Amino acid sequence: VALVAVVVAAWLAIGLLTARGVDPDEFRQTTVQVAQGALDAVRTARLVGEAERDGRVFHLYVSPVLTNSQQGVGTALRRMAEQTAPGEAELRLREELLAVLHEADRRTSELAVAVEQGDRERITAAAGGLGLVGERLAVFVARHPG
Amino acid sequence: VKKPFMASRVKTTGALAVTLGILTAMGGFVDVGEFVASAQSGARFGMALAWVTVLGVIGICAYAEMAGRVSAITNRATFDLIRERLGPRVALANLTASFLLTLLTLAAEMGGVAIALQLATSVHYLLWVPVVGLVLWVVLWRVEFGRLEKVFGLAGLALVVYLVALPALHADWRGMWQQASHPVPGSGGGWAMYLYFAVALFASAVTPYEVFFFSSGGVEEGWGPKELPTMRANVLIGFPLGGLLSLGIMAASAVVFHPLQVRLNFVGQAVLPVALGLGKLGLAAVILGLFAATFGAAMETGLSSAYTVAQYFGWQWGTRVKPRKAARFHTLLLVSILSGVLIVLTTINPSQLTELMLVFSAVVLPLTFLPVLVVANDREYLGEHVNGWFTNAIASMFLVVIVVASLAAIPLMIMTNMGEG
Repeated sequence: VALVAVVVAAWLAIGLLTARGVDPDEFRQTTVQVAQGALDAVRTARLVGEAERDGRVFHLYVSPVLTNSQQGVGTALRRMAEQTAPGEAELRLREELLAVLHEADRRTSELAVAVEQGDRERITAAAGGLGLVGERLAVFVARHPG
Repeated sequence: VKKPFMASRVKTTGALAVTLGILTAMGGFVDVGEFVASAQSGARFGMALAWVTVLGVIGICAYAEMAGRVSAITNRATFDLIRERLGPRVALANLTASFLLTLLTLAAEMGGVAIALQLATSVHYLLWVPVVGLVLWVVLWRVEFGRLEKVFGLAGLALVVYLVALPALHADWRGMWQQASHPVPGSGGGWAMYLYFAVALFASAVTPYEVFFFSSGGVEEGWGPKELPTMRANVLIGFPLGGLLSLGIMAASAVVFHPLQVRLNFVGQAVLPVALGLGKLGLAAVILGLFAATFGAAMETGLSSAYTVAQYFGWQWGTRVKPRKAARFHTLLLVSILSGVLIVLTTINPSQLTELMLVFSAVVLPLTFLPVLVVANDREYLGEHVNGWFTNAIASMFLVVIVVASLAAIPLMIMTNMGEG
């Protein structure tokens, strides 16, 4: 009987823990993690894009690195979209980051296409855009230290 | 300990042969653990963790020399001695932990090989993994191992391009020295994060499989007291030079990624600084070096996993024994490689797999290094070749560090969410 009681109590405790809402601090921590992940991807994409434009890397190398960056931004977008904001302030935070992430997604895709087509002007434009997105992400991370 | 052990496995005589051994040791020092941990540490903390690499090199020189001396004098492998000295039960616990860790290391190295091939061909690394497994098995089954380890060790020297690239990247030497001489977290994260990366970096320098590989190789090659000077030259010169390569990887990463606050989660990022500094030729060299370093380490870990089990149970073992006569040893080798393939095919990120391997490596370090110290002090085994006071002083201090790293590894991993923050 004691064993059953312990199991039931443990089960209920787990149920209560999993049913509780998202903690605002936890939400902010995840948000900053997501922003940092996107920052890593965006700045790597910019570096490798510029290196490709300047003829410093093989095309075969660029492709997997850019794909990894695109996946990094995609993962960040998905994680942020899946997050439930516990309050108004967190909702605003999420919207702010989502806007930057969508821009990052667009710019990395543009860079990938430009690299594929060997269009140096478009690579420069996309890399410049990624530079600005990277700045916004860096400011976001700095404003919300983990 | 790394592939430098490979070098000292080869019986060499004469100045040229010793030089070759040292160069092989240097080129073979870096494996996927060193590569990932050094690059990640440089990106996060600049050169603020350089002291960990220096500490790891000093410690591993002490223990590698001891392991080599034990093999040369007793002509018995590590697990053989562990079982005899500590008893079968303690040795079985040791074996279980060491074997599982070596499997994880093998998988990480195979992931590194596959990533190197992906960077050279654009073909997804998961498609390369079965090919890598097959080639690894065939190579270990059919090709003369001694020649191969020299080839891969020397090809690993290509990683010297990290050092060559630093001037081209306009490295701020004074700034890097400032970071190295002020070992604090800075902008890379809090103290927990700093210590987590310190433990991972430390573990990357002292991976346990090297001890098994080294001592087993010594037995296979039939080392005796005459080989001690060559072995010492390889270890005491080759390892520190190999450590320089690790510092080069860290420095290049510190110059390019640290100011941009970019953290590395893909091995392909870590080769980018060389391309930025030296262009396509540098990129080709660094990918070749990465391939050689990880493939060489994959050969060693594959063999080490089979060595440990076969030695514990007293089965016939060795690369020089025909497969028919050492059927269980070769079956173990095959099963280990297949397990490595399956682990990588779970699609776990190879960088994360490497980090995980390093954390668990830190946890089990004392199980490997304490027995080596115990045996190296036993006159029944080593006679007049037992440790002197200086070696014991270094080894004892290093053992304290190992135990602290072992105890701290898991809590730090949890506190930092595996370095994710």
